[in-house]
Formats: sequence, C-alpha cells, structure tokens
Amino acid sequence: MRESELLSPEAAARVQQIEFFARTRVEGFLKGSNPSHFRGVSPEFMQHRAYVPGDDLRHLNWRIYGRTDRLVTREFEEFTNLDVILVLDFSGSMAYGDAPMSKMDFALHAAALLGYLLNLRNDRFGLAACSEQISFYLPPSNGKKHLAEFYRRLVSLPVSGEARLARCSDLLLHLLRRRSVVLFFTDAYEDPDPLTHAVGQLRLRGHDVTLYQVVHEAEKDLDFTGFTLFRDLETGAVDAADPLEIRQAYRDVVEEHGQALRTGTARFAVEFHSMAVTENWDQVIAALLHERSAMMT
Amino acid sequence: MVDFTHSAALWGLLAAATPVVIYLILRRRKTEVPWGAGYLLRRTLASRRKASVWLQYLILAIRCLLLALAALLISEPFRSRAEPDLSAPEPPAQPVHRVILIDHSISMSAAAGHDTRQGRLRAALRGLLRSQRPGDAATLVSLLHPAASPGPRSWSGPLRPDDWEAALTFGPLEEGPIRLPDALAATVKAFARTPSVEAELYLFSDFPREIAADLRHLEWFPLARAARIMRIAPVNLADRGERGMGHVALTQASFGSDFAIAGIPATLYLRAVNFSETETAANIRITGSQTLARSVAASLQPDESRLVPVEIRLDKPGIETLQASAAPSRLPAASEIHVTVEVKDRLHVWLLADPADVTRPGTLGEAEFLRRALMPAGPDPGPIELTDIELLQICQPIPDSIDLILLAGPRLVTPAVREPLLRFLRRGGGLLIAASPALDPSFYNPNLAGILPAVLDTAAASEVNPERFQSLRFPLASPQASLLAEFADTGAEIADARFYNALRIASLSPDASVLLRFSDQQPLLISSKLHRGNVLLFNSSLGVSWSSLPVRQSYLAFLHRLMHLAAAGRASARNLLPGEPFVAAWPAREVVTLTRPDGREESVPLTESAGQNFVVLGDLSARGPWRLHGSSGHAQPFTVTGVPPEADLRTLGEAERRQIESLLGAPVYPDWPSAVRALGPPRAGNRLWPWLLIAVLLLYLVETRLVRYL
Repeated sequence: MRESELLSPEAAARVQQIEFFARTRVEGFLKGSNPSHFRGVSPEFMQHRAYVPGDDLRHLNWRIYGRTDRLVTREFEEFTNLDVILVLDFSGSMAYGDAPMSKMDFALHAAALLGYLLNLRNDRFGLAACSEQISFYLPPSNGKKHLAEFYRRLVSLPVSGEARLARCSDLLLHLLRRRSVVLFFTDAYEDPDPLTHAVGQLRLRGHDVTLYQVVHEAEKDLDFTGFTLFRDLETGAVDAADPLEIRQAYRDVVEEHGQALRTGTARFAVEFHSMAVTENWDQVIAALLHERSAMMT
Repeated sequence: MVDFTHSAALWGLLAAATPVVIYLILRRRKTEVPWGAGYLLRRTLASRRKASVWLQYLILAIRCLLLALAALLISEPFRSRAEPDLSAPEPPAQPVHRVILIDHSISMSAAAGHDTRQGRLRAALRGLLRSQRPGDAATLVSLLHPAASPGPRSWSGPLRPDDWEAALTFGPLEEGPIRLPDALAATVKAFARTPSVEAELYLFSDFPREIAADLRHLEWFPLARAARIMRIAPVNLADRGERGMGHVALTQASFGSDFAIAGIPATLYLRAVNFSETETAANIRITGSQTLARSVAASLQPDESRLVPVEIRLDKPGIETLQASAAPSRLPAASEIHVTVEVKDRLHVWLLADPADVTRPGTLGEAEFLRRALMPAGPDPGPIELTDIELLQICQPIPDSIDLILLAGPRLVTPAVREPLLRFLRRGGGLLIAASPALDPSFYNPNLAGILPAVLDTAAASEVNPERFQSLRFPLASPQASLLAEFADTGAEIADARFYNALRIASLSPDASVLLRFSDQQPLLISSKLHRGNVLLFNSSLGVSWSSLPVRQSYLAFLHRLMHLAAAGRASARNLLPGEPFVAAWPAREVVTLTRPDGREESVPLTESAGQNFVVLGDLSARGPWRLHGSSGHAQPFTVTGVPPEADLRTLGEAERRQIESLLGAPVYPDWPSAVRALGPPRAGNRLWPWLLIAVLLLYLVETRLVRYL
C-alpha cells in the first residue's frame, strides 16, 4: 500500500467534525481540549477546598470568607493537549485476507485516519509497531512533518513474525512517560489472559487504553471443504485438518476467545471493540469515534 | 446359521469400503491455504485432536457398517435353525413331479447299530413327501418290480394321512436283484405323463455290487435325461461306516443227509463267507430244541468262504430244526440259516456175511469186526441194531423197518435177491456192499445188475502182501459237505489205514460216483442212487482180511458214516432248495396248517393217493424254517435253504460308482443329508431384516449425533 492510499479525501472529510477526547485525565504541554490531572487556571470551575498556606491568594473565594469567615480556595480544571499512541500489530497474521482487504490494510487505514484527525486537533500521536516485540516506535508529536513520517512508517514497516502483544504492552509501559491514550489495532490472536493483563497494566498506570480487535470475516469460520493444510501466517507451521469435522469446535474457540478478550479487558476497564474488515473502513472508524465522542460529552 | 434370500446382494458388502476409499482419496487431495488465525486453529486442534481422531475413525467405521448392513438388509438374511432342516431339499419354484426309486430288497435291512438302511430310506422318504405342495406330484417306483410302477403309488399334491403309511411301507423287504434299467425306463414313462412341470428323480438304494452288471443297459439314459431337465439325486443308503464292519453270512448248512441217528454224533457243516472288507473273527452259534447252544469261532479273510464243521449229537428221536447264526453280521436274513434233520432212534441193519471158515480154526469171519464194533455197550440197544440174516431172507420182501442191508462180502448172491432189493431201494432203503476175499464177482455182476454201481472184476492181487498196500484218498471232486468229509483231511487217523487188496472195477455205472479212492486212484467207495435208495460199494474189506481199517480208532465212526450215507434215503428230504416241492405222508385226514418262515399261517389241503394222505407243497421260495402241523398234533417241519441272494452287503466300488454317476449325470450322494445339502436345504428360519433395519436406524442416529458432536 502506498502512502497516498492510506487516506481518502472522503474519509478525511467524514472525521473532520469529530472530537477525540481522552476518557481519562491526561498530561500535555499545550492547552487543549483534554482534561489534565493538573489543577490550573482555567475558566472551568471544578471545586472548593480549604485554604492551605502557599495557595495562590487570587483563588481565595472572598465572598465565602465574608459570609462564613472561612478561607476557601477555588480550584479550576486544566485542559491540555493529548498524547495518543497507536499500537499496530504488524505480526504475520495481520496480513490475512484479500477481499476486500487484509486486516493489516484495515488497521493502516484506521491508523492513518486517526493520525490525520489527531494532527488536525493539534494532539500529539505516535506509533508503536508490534510483532514479537516493539519493532518500531515513533514518539508522539504533531505537525505535518510528523504526520508524513507517520504515514511513511505505516506503509514501510514489514508485516511478519508472531504476535507478542502482551510483551509489547509491557515494553510500552516503560516507553510512555506521560498519561496517554493508547489505541491497539490488533487481531489479538494470542493467549487472551496475558494480553488483557498486560494491557490492563497500562490502564492501571493511568493510560486511556482501547483495544480494537481487527478480525476478518473468513477467519470466523472454516469455510473450506476437503482435507486442508492450514499454513500459519505467523509461524509458517502447517496444520492439517478436515474443516468439516472441526468447524463447530473452531467456532466455539473463536467465540470463547472473543469472550475471554471482552471479559479480560472489562476487568481492567480497558475499552474493547471488535471490528470486522470491510470496504467501508472509514465509516466504521467514524462510527467508533462518534461513539467515543458521544460517550465523553 | 445365517442364510440369505438374495445372496447375490451380498456383493453390496463391497460398498462398505466406500467411506474408507473416500476418506483415503480426500486425505490424498490436500489443499494448502494461508491462515491468519493459526492460534485459534491450533487451540481447536489441541482440544479436539485425540477425541477427533478416534471419533473420526468411529464415524468411519459406523458409515462402513451402515453400508454393510444396508447390503445385508437387501439380501434378506434369515437365521436358519440351529440344526438345519435336512429332511428334504428346497423344491423349485414351479410345480414338480418327483419320481422316487425305492430299493426294498432284503439288503436294506442291513443294520449298523440300531440304524438300518431301510430306516434311512423311510426317513428320507418322509421328508421328501412332506415337502409336497399343491400342484406337485410324486411317484414311487420299485427297483425290484419296476413294471408294476407307477400305479397306485402316485400322489398329486400334499399327502393325506392315509397316504403316509402306504408310502412309507412301500412293501415288505424282498429277496431279489434290483433292476435299475427297468426302473429308469418306468421313470421316464412316469415323467411323460406330466410334461409341464419340473422333473426330479430320487434314487434310494444301497447300490449293491451286482448293479454294475446292468450299467451296460443304461446307455440310453443320458439322452433321456437331456431331453427333460431333471434334478437327479442318487442316494447311497449304505453307511460309509459300514466299510470297516465285519459281515459274515452263512450260505449253506448240511449234515450230509436229512436224518441223523440218535446217539451217534453228527457233523453239521456250515458254509461261512466273509462278505466284508476286513478280516473278521466270526462266532457261529447253533441252537436247537434238544441241543445245548454251541458256538464255534472262525477267522475269515475278506471274501473267504469256509466250511465250518460242528459236531452235534442228537439223542432225542424226532424232527429237529437247528438254527445257526453268525456274528458279526448286519443282515439277519443272511447270517441265519436253518437245517432240519430227522433223528431216528436207531438204524435197523440186516447183516449178511459168510460164516467163519470152519476148516481154518481161529480165522475170524469177515463180519466179525463189524459185529464187535457195532455191539451195544450196555443192556440198551445201541444206535445200530444189527441183525444177522440168511441169504434167503432178502429173497423175500424186506420189511419197512429195515433201513440198511449190509452185505459184508458174502461169496454169492442169488438172482432172487434182486427184486426184493430193488423194492427195498425204491422205498429209500440202503445197501452197503463190502468186498472180501470170498466174494465172487461172477455171482454179483449178473444177479445185482442195475443195482451195483460198478461191474466187479477179480481181486487185484492173488495173495495179500503186507509190504504192498494202498491208502485211502478222497477224490478232488468229492462233495465237501458229505458225511465222509470229516475223514477227508490227509492228517486224519483213518488215512493210516492200509488196504492190501481190493476188487478190480471193470466199469462204473453211468450214475455212479466215486466217493473214496485208493492212493493209486482206483475206486474204493462207489455210490449210486436207485430211486430213493443209496447203494454203496466198498471195494475192499471191512474186515481184516484185506485191510487194517478195523484196527484204526476211527473204524467205528467210519462205519457209522458209511451206514448213515447208505441209509440216507430212508428220510424224507427236509432241506429243500427254493422251488423244490415238499411231499410228506400225513397219518390222518385232518386240517393241516402250514407256518411260513415269516410266521404267516395258511391251511393246506391233503392229497390222497393209494389210500394214503399226502401233503404236497410247491413254490417254496422263502428261505427259512417251515412247519406243517395238523390238528392231531402231528408235525412235519422242514427247511427251505439255499444261498441267500443278497448276502453281500458291500456297495459299489469306486470305478463302478464313477460309471453310474456318469450315466446318471449326478453324483451318488453318500447319505440323504449330504444330498439335501448339495441340492440346497429349505430356506426356513427367523428373518433377521427387522433387526437389521433397527440396527441401521440406530447406527444412523448415532452417526449423525457423532458428526454433530464433531
């Protein structure tokens, strides 16, 4: 895929009016639309508290002092800009699918759209390419150059290797200094318990974590006839099976796996969405962003 | 035992391999696809692999079994009875006419244990006739009397209860040869009456060896067989196990004459023949009303025929019927034989001899040794009542009480003795003439012409030379079972007797026979029969003048046998050959009943002739003891004897069997069950298809559940 194919004008137009908020308080350098965990000067009153020596006298509520003879300081909520880390699964399994597109293509489109949106809103965004480990890390930033670099990296990174998203998540804990929004785009085809636990650790550190599972419809079922050799795109291992005989069991495993992911992420208050690969990827992403925006407002 | 209605459908069992073939083909046609969700697939396979493999093979087996059961279902299996019904073969679908050739000869009574050939025949016939269906016909043809068949022995459709006994008791067992060509001709004739139905021929016989002689008359039969589709089943009812069983038959029994003298031991000669294929130790047992049972043993090689002598002493006057039976034997008709003998209280003998030479003191007369030998031992008269007579007495009519006249070498006889002697001989009297140095042939030859069995000449030697003598020899052609047979052994004591001189024989009468010869082959004892009487000429001396015979220990026994032989005509013939008439005088006019050997009784008329009553019986064919008895208690037993026509129970040899199989176009089955097995036993039993259907449905349910589970 070329850089020019990552984002279409229609998709860009579709998301221009969408707000992207962090669900939690984040840390930023610039004034922005995202609430910061710092209390600062802001038109948004948050609460009163008892005065302690050292507090800025400008924030004393004199009216209350006059009525009750108690010193009370006003606190205001501070809004800052957003650090968003887009964690993309570049393992071999993401290359699965031809029509309408592969899971990787879908994730790249989604990442490109989000990058465009975040850059538009002056939020900082970075990229973490994961397979067996974090193969590439683009620190959060913004600007046209950053966006261009972001796009260039998206199309140039290799799609191979086994998925070790839990391990990547652990590494990400050390990379992220500020509370950020972490968006995973992965098929999550690995043990759900370690994965959700690792992702949950990010959440416990205060990051706003969302796990987008990108699945292909063909993977939900074994729609084959006859004895079939399944070559694993991640390991290259070949498993022989009669799809007719194991179809139901496979369906059960798929369902069980999705359920384990949902349960595991919910346990750590990690947002989880499962997205099927579709040609209308921009609508899917836009719908998700709308949903997120609506939830925050 | 499971059988199938449509056995051809069993080829469908091959279809049971179809799932395996498909499985193998699919295993060979592998397509490789890239797969992203390898983790999920591996988890699926890891959780399912063990169960999957076994279930997979289980399903495969169930599918194979389903197809196999379906094939079995189509073939309509049924479980035949635990012991298959071998009473009759499965009849053809179309109506059938069965012609059944029945052998009811006496050999069918041969037994192996409690099982007889006739019993096997009845069992086979019962099964065969029971399988009669409406539209079927059955005709019984006798192998003994095929001309009389078919006739009243034909049935159409199932047999009524009344028909059963008639069918199973086809007729009493009869002695006689079976006539296979005639029976097969009658078969073809019977089939011609039912041209529109299937034709089946069953031949039940023990296939005796004599049947081989008739096979050359059967060359027409293959053509007749080809003209009509016939299922032919010859069944040999002779048990294969009989091959190693001994079978001894008694074919002849005789005392040498039909009368015996009370108190004088007689020898019963029994002809025993081994008609088996194994060496057999035969035990022959003789029983009678006045003698204790006696047994003698004889070891006989296969096919050996031997004359077994049994010495019997009968003391009670009367008519005695003895029964001899041989064991082992499987045919009572052949193993038993009877002989009837009239026991006379004593033999009344007139002795005519020259007195001793008074001019030579110390010289013994020619009859002296005879008298001393025959002298009674005690006060009771002995078995031989010897009466010295003068020549004049035989010139007059001789009383009926006299049984034998012994001419112990008197010098002369006169012409006047001829007529009384002839009348005496016609009545069955015996005449024994012994030579002596005094005998003058010139008196004998003319005066006893027509009575003497030979023309006498002078003595062979003028003087007796002790160094030159002859011994006694039996001619090769002498009757073996004669009264003298016991002396025929060259080792017998009498063989040492020396004969120093004898009369030369000028010529023998045409009807004369030489019973004994000298060692130089000159005649010693010549016999001829004149009417009922016997004339014996002993051509040497019965005294010591020309021989040493009187000093031998067996002299008395020899004398007894000679007298017995000479007087044999005094008794009526009581051992008849089949077909010979029996004539006996009856003392009173009364109701006379004849009891046949099989126990049946009938009245016989008396015939009067010359003021005397006679019983005349003709057509006496049934072998065995017969008995005539009147209301007054008078009885006349007699025996019809002869060689049994079916003594040899051995069945056809291998070569003859093959020949008859070639002519009949069918194998000769060794027994009826074998024939039924070969022809196809009836398909009867519990049908299994409902159970198979249930099994198929259950297996289908299991298979679908398992597939769903997978």
